[in-house]
Amino acid sequence: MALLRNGRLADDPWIQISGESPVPEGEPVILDYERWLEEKDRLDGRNAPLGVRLASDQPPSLIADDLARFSLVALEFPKFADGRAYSYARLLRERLGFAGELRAVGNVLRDQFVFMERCGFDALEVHGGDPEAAYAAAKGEITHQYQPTGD
Amino acid sequence: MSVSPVYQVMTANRLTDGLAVYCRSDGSWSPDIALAAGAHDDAGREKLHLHGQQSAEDHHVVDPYFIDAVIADGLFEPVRLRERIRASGPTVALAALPSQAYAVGD
Amino acid sequence: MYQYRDIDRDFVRQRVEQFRDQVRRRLDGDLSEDEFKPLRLMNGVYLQLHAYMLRVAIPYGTLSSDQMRRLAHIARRYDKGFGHFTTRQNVQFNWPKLIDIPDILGELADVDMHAIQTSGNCIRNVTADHFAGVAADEVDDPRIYGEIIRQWSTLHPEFTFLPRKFKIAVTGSPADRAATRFHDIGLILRKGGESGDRIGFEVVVGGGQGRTPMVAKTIRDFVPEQDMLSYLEAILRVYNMLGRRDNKYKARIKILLHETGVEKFTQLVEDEWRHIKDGPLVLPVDTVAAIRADFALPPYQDAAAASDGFEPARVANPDFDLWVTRNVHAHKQPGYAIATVSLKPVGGIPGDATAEQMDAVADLADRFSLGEIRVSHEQNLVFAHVRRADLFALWQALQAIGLATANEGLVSDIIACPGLDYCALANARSIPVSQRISSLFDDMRKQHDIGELKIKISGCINACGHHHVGHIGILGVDRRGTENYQITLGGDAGPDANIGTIIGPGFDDDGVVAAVKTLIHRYLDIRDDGERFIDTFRRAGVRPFKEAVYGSA
Repeated sequence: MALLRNGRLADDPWIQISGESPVPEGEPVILDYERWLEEKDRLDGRNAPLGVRLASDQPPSLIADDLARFSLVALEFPKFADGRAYSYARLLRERLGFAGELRAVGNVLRDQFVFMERCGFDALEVHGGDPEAAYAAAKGEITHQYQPTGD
Repeated sequence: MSVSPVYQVMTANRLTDGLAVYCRSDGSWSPDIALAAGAHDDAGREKLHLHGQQSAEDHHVVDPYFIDAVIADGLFEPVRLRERIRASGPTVALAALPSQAYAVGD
Repeated sequence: MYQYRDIDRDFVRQRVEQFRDQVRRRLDGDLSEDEFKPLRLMNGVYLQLHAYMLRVAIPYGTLSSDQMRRLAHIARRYDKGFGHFTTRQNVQFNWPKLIDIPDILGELADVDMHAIQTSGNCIRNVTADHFAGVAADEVDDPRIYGEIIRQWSTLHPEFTFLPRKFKIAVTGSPADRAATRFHDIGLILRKGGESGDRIGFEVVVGGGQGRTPMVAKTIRDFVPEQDMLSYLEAILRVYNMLGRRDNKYKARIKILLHETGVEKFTQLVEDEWRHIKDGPLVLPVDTVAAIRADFALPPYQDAAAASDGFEPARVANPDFDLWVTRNVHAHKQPGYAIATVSLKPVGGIPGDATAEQMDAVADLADRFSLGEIRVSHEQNLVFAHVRRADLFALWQALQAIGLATANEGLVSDIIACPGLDYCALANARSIPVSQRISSLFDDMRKQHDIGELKIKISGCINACGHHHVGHIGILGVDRRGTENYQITLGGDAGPDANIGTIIGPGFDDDGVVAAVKTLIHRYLDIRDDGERFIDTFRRAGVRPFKEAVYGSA
């Protein structure tokens, strides 16, 4: 797995906390929504960046009031054909004014990179191959856009 | 009068041109169901199944699956109407003039 | 018609090269079939029963003679010499090779055509009234808005992986020749606003056929022109987020609307719209004006000159008169007419045209109809700008190529899906049934006596043959391995939108043809003067028809 940020391979300082694993002190962590909800009050005083991961049936309205707490929102594509997160991304950027990292996770394929970016994702968790080359190729394929988005 | 036993024939569509093709005993594929291999026991089915998997993995065919076929006039005939039409082409005349017919099954 | 700008041309070319690369990656094994499938579908490529199928968009049903010639060329060079015009203003080629498809798309791009979004879970080719721009009864030309929607929806990054396919139709006429109430969204042009003379739309949502047929509901009486795209975007966003993804048979917007309730659904759309209404999607007046200019009506001759010799020819030629009666329609411009070219020869395949016929139609369009051709959702072609003086010569020329059947709207003008002869999803054949029914009445005068009667045949529950809205609808199903056909009566795709009622147990192929004949004879027995089949059905109900077919209980 690799992380593309604005098309370049990037280090990923974020630790994704799965299940009941403990939350390490002083490290940037991404929690799933349920875990964050459980521990949100305790996490408030934490001295490290916080990220939240939303499943494809968890719209951003769930975190709208708490958005300022997050430096990162990860949106899941459980399969690439589940396109809900495209709308979520636009709402986060264009409606809720989220300016932190917006990360696409899950079944993130090169033929969708451009769609994701146009909806406001700036970080893509990708698998296999040469992601920078794939990104560059995908970006160059279609250069005209017919509709405004927040991009 | 004897009734033909039911055989399983492996079919798929060929990736490059989409034509319906049938698996032969050597694992190659033909648009002609007459050349297909028919399995009537688990060993035969397993062999065809593996051919199908391999050909799909080698991106030679798409979505291999088994159909039931019986022998009629010495040739395989699929049991289901859908597969009979798939094997022998539309039952209605093509709109094109015969002189323009284009070669199928090359 | 719309003239491609440089950006359109560059875009379509880039899209061809993108697909060429995707095909290469598929052939090389870099893409699995699961990954490739949505990519090919977004470019109109299906894998059907016998081969690949390529579905080419004819946006809002308008094409030029050069484009038609290119379709003929593709049919000849890459296929088996014919194409199939569909109920969604597309043309389908049944036998292209995957390895040829990038080249075919390149050939289409040469004439400003494409196959983008003719399939897949995205916003599909936008359809419109096939008489758009010239119909005597229209408020405005729906193609202007169809083109704007085409552009907005093309590779829309947010709406490319919707829960299910999404179809939009636009009509400018209250007669609704575009079946707008059976689309995911129907836009019905009207005048409104405070002054009552602004252009806008009634918006209807959640219509469709398939296994759960529904008539669309009006969610807003009037959306002003400049808000059209923001309103569409609001609907699509609500659907994208809330439409069901757990069951493909419940994934269309009609199910969301039904399960949510019209009131609540409307509220969700209105809430979303309020946020984006005055944003970047507001349609600039000059953008609309520029596209409107492309659709401006051509210079016409004065009425008297345009009509020369028309009436005498009618009187002298009863067969021509018959054709005019059915296939020729009132035009906005005095002296001109709209002529339907029937792709329903008695005993033929509905919607099919050979390459020769396509070429000939293109030549006739150049001679008689300003080089433009329409494709109707009823699978016919239309010449929209014919001088009445030219109708006779046009008719004679059409006769020579087998396209002068005087049957528009009659019993042999059958809509039929490709059915089990071609389609991987079908359960039963449609084409042979339509051929046999149309052959029941090969005496044209008998057909004219029967009058308007819309028969629509689908080979499976997906209802591509629109059986739910046929005056007589026929649905082919698979009953224990044999084809079985159910009959519905009373469907209507027009402004009196209605879903037909199943009359009873199904029939085999001989039985369904006999039953249709019986139904028609019963209609002839009980009709009042001047009553169409559908009127008789509405007046008398299903009972006399049921009794005729099944006997009295």
